[in-house]
Amino acid sequence: MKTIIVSVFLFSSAFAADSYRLAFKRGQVEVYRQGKLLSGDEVLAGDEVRVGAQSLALLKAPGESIKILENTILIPREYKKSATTLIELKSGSIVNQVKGKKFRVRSKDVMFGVRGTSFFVHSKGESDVWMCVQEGMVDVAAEKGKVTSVPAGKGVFIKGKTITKPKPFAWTRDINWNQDPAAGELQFKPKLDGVYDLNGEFYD
Amino acid sequence: MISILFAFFLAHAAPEPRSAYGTETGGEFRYLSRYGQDSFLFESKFRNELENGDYRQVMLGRYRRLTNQWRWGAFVQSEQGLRWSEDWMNKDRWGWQEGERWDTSFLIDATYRSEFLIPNLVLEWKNRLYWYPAWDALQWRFRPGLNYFVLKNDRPLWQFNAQVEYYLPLTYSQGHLAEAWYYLNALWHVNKQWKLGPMLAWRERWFNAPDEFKERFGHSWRSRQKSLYLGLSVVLAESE
Repeated sequence: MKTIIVSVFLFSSAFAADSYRLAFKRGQVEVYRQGKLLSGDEVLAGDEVRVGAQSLALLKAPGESIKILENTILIPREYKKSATTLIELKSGSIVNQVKGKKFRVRSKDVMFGVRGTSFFVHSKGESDVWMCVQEGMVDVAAEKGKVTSVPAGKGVFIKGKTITKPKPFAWTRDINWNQDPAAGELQFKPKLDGVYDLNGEFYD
Repeated sequence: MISILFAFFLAHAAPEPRSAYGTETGGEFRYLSRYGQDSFLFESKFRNELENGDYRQVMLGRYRRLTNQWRWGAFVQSEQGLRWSEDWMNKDRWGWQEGERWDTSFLIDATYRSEFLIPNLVLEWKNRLYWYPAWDALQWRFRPGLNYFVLKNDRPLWQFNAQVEYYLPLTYSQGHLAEAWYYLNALWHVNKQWKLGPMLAWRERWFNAPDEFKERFGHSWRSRQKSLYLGLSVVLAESE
Protein backbone atom coordinates (compact mmCIF):
# COMPACT_ATOMS: atom_id res chain seq x y z
CA MET A 1 0.00 0.00 0.00
CA LYS A 2 2.87 2.32 0.94
CA THR A 3 4.50 1.58 -2.41
CA ILE A 4 1.37 2.52 -4.31
CA ILE A 5 1.02 5.80 -2.42
CA VAL A 6 4.68 6.67 -3.03
CA SER A 7 4.33 5.82 -6.74
CA VAL A 8 1.25 7.99 -7.10
CA PHE A 9 3.01 10.84 -5.31
CA LEU A 10 6.10 10.55 -7.51
CA PHE A 11 3.99 10.36 -10.69
CA SER A 12 1.99 13.42 -9.66
CA SER A 13 5.04 15.42 -8.66
CA ALA A 14 6.54 14.96 -12.13
CA PHE A 15 3.60 17.02 -13.53
CA ALA A 16 3.10 19.25 -10.51
CA ALA A 17 3.66 22.49 -12.41
CA ASP A 18 1.72 23.45 -15.55
CA SER A 19 4.42 22.12 -17.81
CA TYR A 20 5.27 19.34 -20.24
CA ARG A 21 8.08 16.89 -19.78
CA LEU A 22 10.31 15.61 -22.57
CA ALA A 23 9.73 11.94 -21.77
CA PHE A 24 11.81 10.63 -24.67
CA LYS A 25 14.18 12.13 -27.16
CA ARG A 26 16.38 10.81 -29.92
CA GLY A 27 18.76 12.79 -32.12
CA GLN A 28 18.57 16.57 -32.35
CA VAL A 29 15.86 17.82 -29.98
CA GLU A 30 16.08 21.45 -28.81
CA VAL A 31 13.88 23.58 -26.59
CA TYR A 32 14.07 27.39 -26.79
CA ARG A 33 12.65 29.83 -24.25
CA GLN A 34 12.65 33.46 -25.36
CA GLY A 35 15.33 32.58 -27.93
CA LYS A 36 17.64 30.82 -25.45
CA LEU A 37 18.45 27.12 -25.77
CA LEU A 38 17.46 25.16 -22.63
CA SER A 39 19.12 22.05 -21.29
CA GLY A 40 16.36 20.57 -19.08
CA ASP A 41 13.39 18.39 -19.94
CA GLU A 42 10.70 20.84 -18.82
CA VAL A 43 8.68 22.57 -21.54
CA LEU A 44 6.45 25.52 -20.64
CA ALA A 45 3.77 27.27 -22.64
CA GLY A 46 5.53 29.57 -25.11
CA ASP A 47 8.67 27.42 -25.44
CA GLU A 48 9.63 26.35 -28.95
CA VAL A 49 10.46 22.68 -29.49
CA ARG A 50 12.55 21.84 -32.54
CA VAL A 51 13.10 18.26 -33.65
CA GLY A 52 15.68 17.81 -36.42
CA ALA A 53 16.16 15.29 -39.20
CA GLN A 54 16.04 11.60 -38.19
CA SER A 55 15.11 12.72 -34.66
CA LEU A 56 12.11 12.24 -32.42
CA ALA A 57 10.69 13.51 -29.14
CA LEU A 58 7.86 12.59 -26.81
CA LEU A 59 6.18 15.38 -24.89
CA LYS A 60 4.04 14.30 -21.93
CA ALA A 61 1.67 15.93 -19.49
CA PRO A 62 -1.35 14.62 -17.57
CA GLY A 63 -3.92 13.50 -20.11
CA GLU A 64 -1.64 14.33 -23.07
CA SER A 65 1.08 12.63 -25.03
CA ILE A 66 2.54 14.31 -28.11
CA LYS A 67 4.92 12.39 -30.34
CA ILE A 68 6.96 14.88 -32.36
CA LEU A 69 8.37 13.44 -35.57
CA GLU A 70 11.47 14.55 -37.44
CA ASN A 71 11.77 18.03 -38.99
CA THR A 72 9.09 19.51 -36.76
CA ILE A 73 8.76 22.82 -34.95
CA LEU A 74 5.98 23.32 -32.41
CA ILE A 75 5.08 25.72 -29.62
CA PRO A 76 2.68 24.83 -26.79
CA ARG A 77 0.80 28.14 -26.75
CA GLU A 78 -1.52 27.40 -23.86
CA TYR A 79 -1.18 24.67 -21.30
CA LYS A 80 -2.84 24.14 -17.94
CA LYS A 81 -3.43 20.72 -16.42
CA SER A 82 -7.16 21.16 -16.03
CA ALA A 83 -7.86 23.60 -18.84
CA THR A 84 -7.58 23.75 -22.59
CA THR A 85 -4.31 23.02 -24.37
CA LEU A 86 -3.35 24.85 -27.54
CA ILE A 87 -0.42 23.53 -29.58
CA GLU A 88 0.88 25.55 -32.50
CA LEU A 89 2.37 23.27 -35.15
CA LYS A 90 4.61 25.51 -37.26
CA SER A 91 5.78 22.66 -39.52
CA GLY A 92 6.25 18.91 -39.47
CA SER A 93 4.27 16.06 -37.91
CA ILE A 94 2.83 15.18 -34.52
CA VAL A 95 0.85 12.22 -33.19
CA ASN A 96 -1.38 13.16 -30.25
CA GLN A 97 -3.10 11.11 -27.57
CA VAL A 98 -5.50 13.06 -25.39
CA LYS A 99 -7.65 11.87 -22.51
CA GLY A 100 -10.29 13.83 -20.64
CA LYS A 101 -9.45 17.40 -21.58
CA LYS A 102 -9.90 19.95 -24.30
CA PHE A 103 -7.00 19.89 -26.70
CA ARG A 104 -6.47 21.99 -29.78
CA VAL A 105 -3.81 22.07 -32.47
CA ARG A 106 -3.37 25.10 -34.70
CA SER A 107 -1.44 24.80 -37.95
CA LYS A 108 -1.27 27.82 -40.24
CA ASP A 109 -4.90 29.00 -40.29
CA VAL A 110 -6.40 25.60 -39.46
CA MET A 111 -7.64 24.65 -35.99
CA PHE A 112 -8.16 21.06 -34.81
CA GLY A 113 -10.26 20.66 -31.67
CA VAL A 114 -10.71 17.43 -29.71
CA ARG A 115 -11.74 15.96 -26.39
CA GLY A 116 -10.30 12.56 -25.67
CA THR A 117 -8.87 11.18 -28.89
CA SER A 118 -5.84 10.05 -30.80
CA PHE A 119 -4.92 11.86 -33.99
CA PHE A 120 -2.07 12.78 -36.36
CA VAL A 121 -1.33 16.17 -37.91
CA HIS A 122 1.26 16.98 -40.58
CA SER A 123 1.92 20.48 -41.82
CA LYS A 124 3.99 21.30 -44.90
CA GLY A 125 4.65 24.28 -47.15
CA GLU A 126 2.54 27.40 -47.18
CA SER A 127 -0.87 25.91 -46.56
CA ASP A 128 -0.93 22.10 -46.88
CA VAL A 129 -2.05 20.19 -43.79
CA TRP A 130 -2.93 16.50 -43.39
CA MET A 131 -4.86 15.09 -40.42
CA CYS A 132 -6.02 11.60 -39.51
CA VAL A 133 -8.01 10.29 -36.52
CA GLN A 134 -7.37 6.94 -34.82
CA GLU A 135 -9.89 7.25 -31.98
CA GLY A 136 -12.73 9.65 -31.18
CA MET A 137 -13.63 12.66 -33.29
CA VAL A 138 -11.71 15.75 -34.37
CA ASP A 139 -13.35 19.01 -35.44
CA VAL A 140 -11.45 20.88 -38.18
CA ALA A 141 -12.01 24.57 -38.89
CA ALA A 142 -10.20 26.41 -41.65
CA GLU A 143 -12.53 29.40 -41.65
CA LYS A 144 -14.84 30.92 -39.09
CA GLY A 145 -18.17 29.15 -38.67
CA LYS A 146 -17.32 26.14 -40.88
CA VAL A 147 -16.42 22.97 -39.02
CA THR A 148 -15.73 19.54 -40.52
CA SER A 149 -15.99 16.63 -38.08
CA VAL A 150 -13.60 13.79 -38.82
CA PRO A 151 -14.40 10.37 -37.29
CA ALA A 152 -12.01 7.57 -36.37
CA GLY A 153 -10.31 5.82 -39.27
CA LYS A 154 -10.59 8.80 -41.61
CA GLY A 155 -8.42 11.68 -42.62
CA VAL A 156 -8.66 15.03 -44.35
CA PHE A 157 -6.39 17.18 -46.47
CA ILE A 158 -6.51 20.94 -46.01
CA LYS A 159 -5.20 23.43 -48.53
CA GLY A 160 -5.76 27.02 -47.52
CA LYS A 161 -9.40 27.21 -46.53
CA THR A 162 -10.34 24.06 -48.41
CA ILE A 163 -11.02 20.88 -46.43
CA THR A 164 -11.60 17.63 -48.33
CA LYS A 165 -14.30 15.18 -47.35
CA PRO A 166 -13.12 12.80 -44.57
CA LYS A 167 -11.85 9.56 -46.17
CA PRO A 168 -9.86 6.46 -45.23
CA PHE A 169 -6.79 7.58 -47.22
CA ALA A 170 -4.06 5.03 -47.93
CA TRP A 171 -1.39 7.09 -46.15
CA THR A 172 -3.25 6.82 -42.84
CA ARG A 173 -2.65 3.05 -42.73
CA ASP A 174 1.09 3.59 -42.24
CA ILE A 175 0.85 5.80 -39.17
CA ASN A 176 2.69 4.48 -36.14
CA TRP A 177 0.38 5.38 -33.25
CA ASN A 178 2.66 3.99 -30.55
CA GLN A 179 3.45 6.53 -27.80
CA ASP A 180 5.36 4.16 -25.52
CA PRO A 181 9.10 3.66 -26.19
CA ALA A 182 8.99 0.43 -24.14
CA ALA A 183 6.29 -1.01 -26.42
CA GLY A 184 8.29 -0.66 -29.64
CA GLU A 185 9.54 1.77 -32.26
CA LEU A 186 8.02 5.27 -32.24
CA GLN A 187 9.43 6.70 -35.47
CA PHE A 188 7.83 6.58 -38.92
CA LYS A 189 7.79 8.67 -42.08
CA PRO A 190 4.36 9.65 -43.37
CA LYS A 191 4.00 9.01 -47.12
CA LEU A 192 2.02 12.01 -48.25
CA ASP A 193 2.72 11.92 -51.96
CA GLY A 194 -0.82 11.21 -53.09
CA VAL A 195 -3.71 13.17 -54.55
CA TYR A 196 -6.05 14.16 -51.74
CA ASP A 197 -8.24 16.69 -53.47
CA LEU A 198 -10.13 15.23 -56.45
CA ASN A 199 -11.79 18.59 -57.06
CA GLY A 200 -8.36 19.78 -58.13
CA GLU A 201 -7.84 16.85 -60.54
CA PHE A 202 -9.03 18.52 -63.71
CA TYR A 203 -7.24 18.37 -67.03
CA ASP A 204 -9.18 20.62 -69.39
CA MET B 1 -35.33 19.33 -124.94
CA ILE B 2 -35.67 17.40 -121.67
CA SER B 3 -31.93 17.63 -121.05
CA ILE B 4 -32.01 21.41 -121.64
CA LEU B 5 -34.86 21.77 -119.12
CA PHE B 6 -33.00 19.57 -116.63
CA ALA B 7 -29.84 21.68 -116.97
CA PHE B 8 -31.93 24.86 -116.50
CA PHE B 9 -33.54 23.37 -113.36
CA LEU B 10 -30.14 22.41 -111.89
CA ALA B 11 -28.77 25.88 -112.55
CA HIS B 12 -31.64 27.57 -110.70
CA ALA B 13 -32.47 24.98 -108.01
CA ALA B 14 -31.72 26.08 -104.45
CA PRO B 15 -28.36 24.39 -103.66
CA GLU B 16 -28.71 23.11 -100.09
CA PRO B 17 -26.07 21.16 -98.20
CA ARG B 18 -26.88 17.52 -97.67
CA SER B 19 -26.81 16.05 -94.21
CA ALA B 20 -23.66 14.07 -93.54
CA TYR B 21 -22.93 11.01 -91.43
CA GLY B 22 -19.70 9.21 -90.66
CA THR B 23 -16.70 8.74 -88.45
CA GLU B 24 -14.20 11.33 -87.31
CA THR B 25 -10.80 10.75 -85.73
CA GLY B 26 -8.44 13.00 -83.85
CA GLY B 27 -6.14 13.74 -80.97
CA GLU B 28 -5.83 16.20 -78.13
CA PHE B 29 -2.82 17.32 -76.13
CA ARG B 30 -2.92 19.42 -72.98
CA TYR B 31 -0.17 20.84 -70.83
CA LEU B 32 -1.16 21.97 -67.35
CA SER B 33 1.12 23.73 -64.93
CA ARG B 34 -0.29 24.22 -61.43
CA TYR B 35 0.94 26.87 -59.01
CA GLY B 36 -1.16 26.96 -55.84
CA GLN B 37 -4.64 28.11 -56.81
CA ASP B 38 -3.57 28.89 -60.42
CA SER B 39 -3.35 26.49 -63.35
CA PHE B 40 -1.93 27.46 -66.70
CA LEU B 41 -3.31 25.48 -69.63
CA PHE B 42 -2.10 24.98 -73.18
CA GLU B 43 -4.36 22.87 -75.37
CA SER B 44 -4.07 21.65 -78.92
CA LYS B 45 -6.56 19.56 -80.91
CA PHE B 46 -6.63 17.95 -84.30
CA ARG B 47 -9.60 16.28 -85.97
CA ASN B 48 -10.17 14.70 -89.32
CA GLU B 49 -13.80 15.72 -89.76
CA LEU B 50 -16.61 14.70 -92.06
CA GLU B 51 -16.26 15.53 -95.77
CA ASN B 52 -12.46 15.41 -95.45
CA GLY B 53 -12.31 18.59 -93.41
CA ASP B 54 -9.32 19.09 -91.14
CA TYR B 55 -9.83 20.93 -87.87
CA ARG B 56 -6.96 22.35 -85.79
CA GLN B 57 -7.11 24.25 -82.54
CA VAL B 58 -4.72 25.84 -80.08
CA MET B 59 -5.72 27.45 -76.79
CA LEU B 60 -3.82 29.17 -74.02
CA GLY B 61 -4.98 30.58 -70.70
CA ARG B 62 -5.25 30.28 -66.99
CA TYR B 63 -7.61 28.92 -64.35
CA ARG B 64 -7.89 30.19 -60.80
CA ARG B 65 -9.61 28.22 -58.06
CA LEU B 66 -11.94 30.49 -56.15
CA THR B 67 -13.23 27.91 -53.68
CA ASN B 68 -12.96 24.16 -53.29
CA GLN B 69 -15.79 23.77 -55.82
CA TRP B 70 -15.48 26.72 -58.17
CA ARG B 71 -12.79 27.81 -60.56
CA TRP B 72 -12.81 30.35 -63.30
CA GLY B 73 -10.53 30.85 -66.26
CA ALA B 74 -9.77 33.10 -69.20
CA PHE B 75 -8.40 31.80 -72.49
CA VAL B 76 -7.59 32.78 -76.03
CA GLN B 77 -8.19 30.25 -78.77
CA SER B 78 -7.51 29.93 -82.47
CA GLU B 79 -9.23 27.38 -84.71
CA GLN B 80 -8.75 26.38 -88.31
CA GLY B 81 -11.47 24.49 -90.12
CA LEU B 82 -14.25 25.76 -87.88
CA ARG B 83 -17.47 25.66 -89.92
CA TRP B 84 -20.11 28.36 -89.65
CA SER B 85 -23.46 28.45 -91.43
CA GLU B 86 -22.13 31.46 -93.37
CA ASP B 87 -19.44 29.21 -94.87
CA TRP B 88 -22.14 27.78 -97.20
CA MET B 89 -21.51 30.17 -100.06
CA ASN B 90 -21.26 30.47 -103.78
CA LYS B 91 -17.68 30.56 -105.06
CA ASP B 92 -18.01 29.23 -108.63
CA ARG B 93 -20.40 26.73 -107.08
CA TRP B 94 -22.31 26.45 -103.81
CA GLY B 95 -20.42 24.59 -101.08
CA TRP B 96 -18.72 24.72 -97.70
CA GLN B 97 -15.92 27.26 -98.01
CA GLU B 98 -14.24 27.54 -94.59
CA GLY B 99 -10.87 27.06 -96.32
CA GLU B 100 -7.64 27.83 -94.48
CA ARG B 101 -9.12 30.55 -92.27
CA TRP B 102 -8.10 30.77 -88.58
CA ASP B 103 -10.88 31.94 -86.23
CA THR B 104 -9.72 33.59 -83.03
CA SER B 105 -11.95 33.61 -79.97
CA PHE B 106 -11.74 34.76 -76.38
CA LEU B 107 -13.47 32.77 -73.70
CA ILE B 108 -14.18 32.82 -70.02
CA ASP B 109 -14.81 29.66 -68.07
CA ALA B 110 -16.70 29.04 -64.82
CA THR B 111 -16.56 25.43 -63.64
CA TYR B 112 -18.19 23.78 -60.65
CA ARG B 113 -16.67 20.57 -59.33
CA SER B 114 -17.63 18.55 -56.29
CA GLU B 115 -17.41 15.01 -55.00
CA PHE B 116 -20.82 13.49 -55.46
CA LEU B 117 -22.88 10.61 -54.02
CA ILE B 118 -20.13 8.00 -53.68
CA PRO B 119 -16.40 8.21 -52.89
CA ASN B 120 -14.14 9.15 -55.80
CA LEU B 121 -17.04 10.27 -58.02
CA VAL B 122 -16.86 13.93 -59.02
CA LEU B 123 -19.64 15.97 -60.58
CA GLU B 124 -18.41 18.68 -62.91
CA TRP B 125 -20.39 21.39 -64.64
CA LYS B 126 -18.36 23.45 -67.07
CA ASN B 127 -19.64 26.71 -68.54
CA ARG B 128 -17.82 28.63 -71.23
CA LEU B 129 -18.71 31.86 -72.94
CA TYR B 130 -16.96 32.26 -76.32
CA TRP B 131 -16.67 35.50 -78.22
CA TYR B 132 -15.62 35.35 -81.87
CA PRO B 133 -14.87 39.00 -82.73
CA ALA B 134 -14.57 38.42 -86.49
CA TRP B 135 -18.11 37.03 -86.52
CA ASP B 136 -19.41 39.23 -83.70
CA ALA B 137 -20.70 35.96 -82.29
CA LEU B 138 -21.30 34.95 -78.69
CA GLN B 139 -21.65 31.29 -77.88
CA TRP B 140 -22.35 29.54 -74.56
CA ARG B 141 -21.07 26.02 -74.13
CA PHE B 142 -22.03 23.99 -71.09
CA ARG B 143 -20.84 20.53 -70.20
CA PRO B 144 -22.23 18.62 -67.23
CA GLY B 145 -20.42 15.37 -66.51
CA LEU B 146 -19.23 12.78 -64.06
CA ASN B 147 -15.60 11.76 -63.41
CA TYR B 148 -14.92 8.52 -61.58
CA PHE B 149 -11.41 7.93 -60.21
CA VAL B 150 -9.84 4.56 -59.50
CA LEU B 151 -7.19 5.25 -56.87
CA LYS B 152 -4.11 3.28 -55.93
CA ASN B 153 -2.20 4.41 -52.83
CA ASP B 154 -4.02 7.74 -52.84
CA ARG B 155 -3.10 8.40 -56.49
CA PRO B 156 -5.45 8.20 -59.48
CA LEU B 157 -4.70 5.19 -61.65
CA TRP B 158 -7.67 5.48 -64.01
CA GLN B 159 -10.25 8.14 -64.59
CA PHE B 160 -13.54 7.52 -66.41
CA ASN B 161 -15.59 10.44 -67.71
CA ALA B 162 -19.16 10.61 -68.99
CA GLN B 163 -20.14 14.06 -70.26
CA VAL B 164 -22.54 15.87 -72.53
CA GLU B 165 -21.75 19.22 -74.08
CA TYR B 166 -24.02 21.68 -75.85
CA TYR B 167 -23.07 24.73 -77.92
CA LEU B 168 -25.73 27.43 -77.75
CA PRO B 169 -25.47 30.40 -80.10
CA LEU B 170 -26.47 33.55 -78.22
CA THR B 171 -26.20 36.22 -80.88
CA TYR B 172 -26.60 34.32 -84.14
CA SER B 173 -28.28 31.37 -85.81
CA GLN B 174 -31.79 32.10 -84.50
CA GLY B 175 -31.06 30.61 -81.11
CA HIS B 176 -30.92 26.99 -82.25
CA LEU B 177 -28.48 24.47 -80.83
CA ALA B 178 -25.32 24.60 -82.93
CA GLU B 179 -23.52 21.50 -81.74
CA ALA B 180 -23.79 18.65 -79.23
CA TRP B 181 -21.22 16.15 -77.96
CA TYR B 182 -21.83 13.01 -75.89
CA TYR B 183 -18.53 11.80 -74.50
CA LEU B 184 -17.25 8.59 -72.90
CA ASN B 185 -13.56 8.94 -72.06
CA ALA B 186 -10.98 7.13 -70.02
CA LEU B 187 -7.67 8.50 -68.82
CA TRP B 188 -4.84 6.29 -67.65
CA HIS B 189 -2.57 8.08 -65.18
CA VAL B 190 0.75 6.67 -66.36
CA ASN B 191 2.62 8.58 -63.65
CA LYS B 192 2.36 11.89 -61.80
CA GLN B 193 2.91 13.89 -64.97
CA TRP B 194 1.60 11.89 -67.93
CA LYS B 195 -1.94 10.76 -68.58
CA LEU B 196 -3.40 9.31 -71.76
CA GLY B 197 -6.54 7.61 -72.84
CA PRO B 198 -9.10 6.93 -75.54
CA MET B 199 -12.01 9.20 -76.33
CA LEU B 200 -15.30 8.06 -77.76
CA ALA B 201 -17.97 10.60 -78.60
CA TRP B 202 -21.17 11.05 -80.56
CA ARG B 203 -21.26 14.45 -82.23
CA GLU B 204 -24.06 16.36 -83.91
CA ARG B 205 -23.83 19.72 -85.66
CA TRP B 206 -26.54 21.89 -87.13
CA PHE B 207 -26.25 24.61 -89.74
CA ASN B 208 -28.83 27.12 -90.93
CA ALA B 209 -29.17 28.81 -94.30
CA PRO B 210 -27.03 31.99 -94.32
CA ASP B 211 -28.64 35.36 -95.11
CA GLU B 212 -27.09 35.40 -98.60
CA PHE B 213 -28.87 32.16 -99.43
CA LYS B 214 -32.21 33.22 -97.95
CA GLU B 215 -32.18 36.55 -99.83
CA ARG B 216 -31.40 34.85 -103.11
CA PHE B 217 -33.72 31.85 -102.89
CA GLY B 218 -36.38 33.10 -100.51
CA HIS B 219 -36.39 30.12 -98.24
CA SER B 220 -34.27 28.53 -95.54
CA TRP B 221 -32.84 25.14 -94.64
CA ARG B 222 -31.32 23.40 -91.64
CA SER B 223 -28.61 20.84 -92.24
CA ARG B 224 -27.36 18.26 -89.77
CA GLN B 225 -24.05 16.40 -89.50
CA LYS B 226 -23.73 13.36 -87.26
CA SER B 227 -20.51 11.59 -86.50
CA LEU B 228 -18.87 9.06 -84.25
CA TYR B 229 -15.62 10.50 -82.94
CA LEU B 230 -12.65 8.31 -81.98
CA GLY B 231 -9.69 10.05 -80.45
CA LEU B 232 -6.68 9.91 -78.19
CA SER B 233 -6.10 12.33 -75.35
CA VAL B 234 -2.66 13.04 -73.88
CA VAL B 235 -2.06 15.22 -70.83
CA LEU B 236 1.17 16.48 -69.29
CA ALA B 237 0.45 17.98 -65.86
CA GLU B 238 3.03 19.50 -63.56
CA SER B 239 2.65 20.91 -60.06
CA GLU B 240 4.84 23.32 -58.12
